[in-house]
This record gives sequence, C-alpha cells and structure tokens, in this order.
Amino acid sequence: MIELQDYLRDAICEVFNVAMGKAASSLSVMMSNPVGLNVPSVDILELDQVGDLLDELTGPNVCGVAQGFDGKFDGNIVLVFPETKSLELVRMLLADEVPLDVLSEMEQEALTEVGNVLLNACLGTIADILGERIKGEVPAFVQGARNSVLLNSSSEVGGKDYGMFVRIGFSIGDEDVTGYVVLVLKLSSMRHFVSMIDKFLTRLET
Amino acid sequence: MPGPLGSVKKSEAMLRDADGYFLQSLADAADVGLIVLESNSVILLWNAWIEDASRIPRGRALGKPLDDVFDIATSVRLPMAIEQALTSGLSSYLSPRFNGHLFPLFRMNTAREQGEPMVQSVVVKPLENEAGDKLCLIQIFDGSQAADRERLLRRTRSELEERVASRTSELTTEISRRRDVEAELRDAMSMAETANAAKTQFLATVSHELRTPLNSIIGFSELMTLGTLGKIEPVEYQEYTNLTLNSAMHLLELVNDILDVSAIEVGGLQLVESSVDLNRLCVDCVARVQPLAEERGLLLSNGKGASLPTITGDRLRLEQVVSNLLTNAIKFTPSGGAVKLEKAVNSDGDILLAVVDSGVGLTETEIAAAFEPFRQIQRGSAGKHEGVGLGLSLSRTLTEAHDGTLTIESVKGEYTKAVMCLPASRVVAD
Repeated sequence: MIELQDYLRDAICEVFNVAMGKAASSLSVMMSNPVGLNVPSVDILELDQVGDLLDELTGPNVCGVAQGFDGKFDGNIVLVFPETKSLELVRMLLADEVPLDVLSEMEQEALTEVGNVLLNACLGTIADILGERIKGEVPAFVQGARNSVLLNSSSEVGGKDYGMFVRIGFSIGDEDVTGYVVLVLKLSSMRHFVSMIDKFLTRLET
Repeated sequence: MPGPLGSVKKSEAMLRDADGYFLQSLADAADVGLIVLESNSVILLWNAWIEDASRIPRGRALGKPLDDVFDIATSVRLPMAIEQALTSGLSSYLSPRFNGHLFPLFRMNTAREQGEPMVQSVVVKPLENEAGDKLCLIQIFDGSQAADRERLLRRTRSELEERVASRTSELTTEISRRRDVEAELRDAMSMAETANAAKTQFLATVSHELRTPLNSIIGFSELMTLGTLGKIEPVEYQEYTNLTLNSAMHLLELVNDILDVSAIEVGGLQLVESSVDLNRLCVDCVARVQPLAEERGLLLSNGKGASLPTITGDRLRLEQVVSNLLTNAIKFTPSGGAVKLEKAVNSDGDILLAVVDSGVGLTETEIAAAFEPFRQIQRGSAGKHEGVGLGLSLSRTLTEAHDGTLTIESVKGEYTKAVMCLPASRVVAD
C-alpha cells in the first residue's frame, strides 16, 4: 500500500493538470471548439480497489482507450468512461448529424484519437518531469466489463499491480462529462514514480 | 543442411541487407503506406503503396523533408505526432474523423483519372536504428471503404427516420381528424336525442289534452245519433251528426296511436299478457273491418290456412296490429280489388299472419319509409288516404314487443304482403 502525503498528492495532481492543459489546447484546435480539462483528484490504489471504485462511479460496462508504454517504467495507461457517457462524449466532440445507437467504427476511431492526445500528454509530461524517455505504444479502443479493460492493462503476472486513479473533468461548450485515467504500474515502478516526483519537488525547492 | 547456428547467421546476413534491397522489398510488399523519417524529418523510406496512392515516385521523395513533398502545415496533429515520436518516443493515432484527408492520396480501387481522395487513418510510431538514431515510422491505412459503409448507414438511418416521422405526422393528423369527426357525431347524436325526447314529451302532453275534449264530442254526438233525447230535424242534421261521430272516432284512433308511440318511445309500453286464441282474433278483426271493405268495394276474406295455436300475448295489442294491417290494405287497394288474411305455421313452429292485397304495391324505398313514424306513402292519387302514418311503425313495435317480426314484401303495381311472425316460444303448450 502506498500512502500519499498531501504535498505529494498535490504535486501529482499538478503534473496531470499540466498534461491536461496541453491536451486541452490540442483538442480545442482539433475540434475548433474550446475544450476544458481539469484534474480534481488523484489516488493510488491496488488495481482491485481501482476496479471497485470504477464500478461505483461508472457501472459495470465501460469503454475507453488503452495505451501500453515501456522504458524505465512499464505499464499501461487507460482512459475510461461509462459506456453511456462515451456516446455522449463523442456526440459532444463530433457534433454528429445522425447519431447511431452504438459507437460506429469511425466514432470509435475518433474516440481513440481523442484518448491518444490525452494519454500522450500525460505520458509526455511525466517523461519531461522525470527526465526519462517513455516509449508509448499505439492506442487501442477498449470496451466491455471494467475488469477485462483493466486486466488487459495489467503489467505483471502474479504480482500486485497498482493504479494511479485520476479523475478528469471534460467540458465542451455547456456540457460536462467525467472520465477517469488509470495509470497501471507494478508496485516497484509506482514507488519509483512517487520518489522521482518527490526528488523533482526537492530540486525545485533548492 | 545448415545447423541452427548456420540459419541464424543466414538470417543476420539477410537482415544486414535490410539496409538496402531486402528492406525496400519488404516495405513494398506491405498493404499499407509506409514512410520512415529521420530525426530532421527527411524521408528515408517510401514504399510502393504510397508511391501508388500519392502518384509520387520514390525518386522524388527520398532524401527530402516530408513537408517539401506533402503540404502538412495545415494539419494540427501530424507535426505534433512526428515531434512526439522523435523526441518523446510516443506513438500517435490519427483518425479519419479529424484527419480524413491528411495526405493528398487517391483511392486505389477507383480509376486514376477520377482521382477520388482516400479517407485515411494514420499511425505514427517511434523507431530506432542500430546506431540508436531516433526515427519515425508513419503508417497510412485506407479507410475509404469503412467511411463509405458508415456514410451509407447514416444515410439509410436518416431516410428511415424521415419516413417514420412523415408517417407519424400523417397518422397524427388522421387521428386528430377522426377525433373531430367523432366529437361532431357525439354532439349531433346528443342534439338528436334531446330533440327526440322533447318531441315525445310534447306528443304525450298534447295527445292527452286532445283526448279529453274528444270524449265529450263523441259522447254527445252518439247521444244525438241514437236520438236519445228525440229525433233531430231536419233529416240532413242526422247525417251531419253521423259524420261528426265518425270523424271524432277517427280522430280518437289517431290520438290513441300517437299516445302509444309516445309511450313506447319513453319506454312506457307494458304488455298485458294472457292466453290468446289467434283463430278467434282473426275472425274478430276481419269482421271489424268488413264494413270498410264493403264501402270501398273490395273483396275481404279470412283465408282458411292452418288452424293457429293459442299463444301468450297482449290480446288488445295483437288485435291492434292485425286490424291496422287490414285497414292499411283496404285503404291502399283500389276499388274492385281483394284483401286476404292468410295464416300459417312454419317448420320452426313460428306463427305467420299475412295480409295480402292486390293494391298499388311498394318500392324498396317506400317499404323502408313506411316503417318510419309520421310518414305515409302517397299511393295512387296523392293525399287521398287518411292517417299520419303511425300505424305501421306502431305495429312493428308492438310485434317486436311480442318477440316477433313484421315485414313487408311487395311488387309495384301487383301486390303487397305484410307478414307478422310470432315466435314458437309464445305458443301455449296443450
């Protein structure tokens, strides 16, 4: 279990807020419509607990975008929406003239790209702050029970994975949708990540 | 045969060749567009697929910066994706929705001269060579067919929705029109019922008020006809008194009919039932109208027919029906004709009493009209017949009160036959 001290939690929250700032400006240009993104909270939990929390927040079926990465850290980063909200989000983003009942192939691809912009911003910012190169894989659209979505992201066979659970608020025009980014790392990587953030803060202070 | 070590060496040799011929032929065999960029965005690899789709031969692309070959400045995503791949090592996916025609490429399966633009999805990935140089791989996929399918799906759905909306609107209009018509009908019905009730009430009151003075007229003219208080002179006055009495009697009959109809319409008809000998009833009725028939110069006969059973019914009302049918027949048969009362029992045991005349006959429309109250068919010379046309309507109501039916069949100019049918259930068991 990793207990986050308040100043670290705030710092990590800030890292993701910086990332969201970058992602929001890219998305706004892509959509020719102002897109707002913010990170109200960050928690580090065991992956099972992340699943339970997602169940509470999203219901059993989710959909989203997953992207693997390796380098000094390896793991997965997943953007998750409740299945119903994903349709709403895509409609908000794409302003489709004839909505279908399910996400079409093109809509899934569009959502994948939106997720990719957001997740790359997170990974890029983390890499910048940590001074490490992170190799990000090609993003994939994921859909189904939250377990299958998260388990596919699991990085370590047999060992316990940890998830950094980040709430993301999207606002496009007058509409708001909440999504979640889960950074899945094994325990050692998670500890390393937190300690690197701590060192980064110390460097800033001196 | 080379051992495992030998085959590894052979593979390595082939891979070293990948710098040149082998790598290019591998890239050319791929069914996607492949472009490899150096860290300064200079094109290092350009495969056959992209040559074909862009119509730019390899010779004009290799060694040049990508933005010299393609105008990519308008794209928001591509320069960023290349930058992220080269500097941060991140992969990017560029969907057709936001980057549909990222590169100026043409669809493979259409005639070149048509030059239809290709819908593309693009993956940008980091690569490294043996020396550790950062490279960027751009893969381009043809999404045109998927885009076509989706366009078709949306168009079909849109058309379907339009059709549903148009049909729904038609139905809504139709339903609303029907509701209006129904409301109008209800109003009309309610007005008709109110008017009918008022009419019935009016008739009942008026008839009652008419009957009272008529009783005086009849009573006193009878006294005068019979000469109870002495002979009346001059002798013409006796004839006038007779005429007064006859007219008053006829008027009373009429008022009674009106009262009956009114009573029935307000649900006031009560049958006074007892055993009725129908043979006797027929004899009495024929006898009663005999003088009228003779006066008109007609041959009236009580047909032999079957002997009828005794039934349960209201004797006075049944007599009223038979007398009315006979009177009608006599009234509408020209002098020299015949009126006959026929009797029969059918196979179901129902009793049939028919009055047949050799009169002017009726059309189908006239038959229907004859059953309506206050309608009288003008047969023969117009207006010469008495009555206001209550008799037949009343007769049918009285027959139906006995669970029977009253029907008329006729041939214009030949005959009319009115048939009263009383059900077998009314027959009194012996």
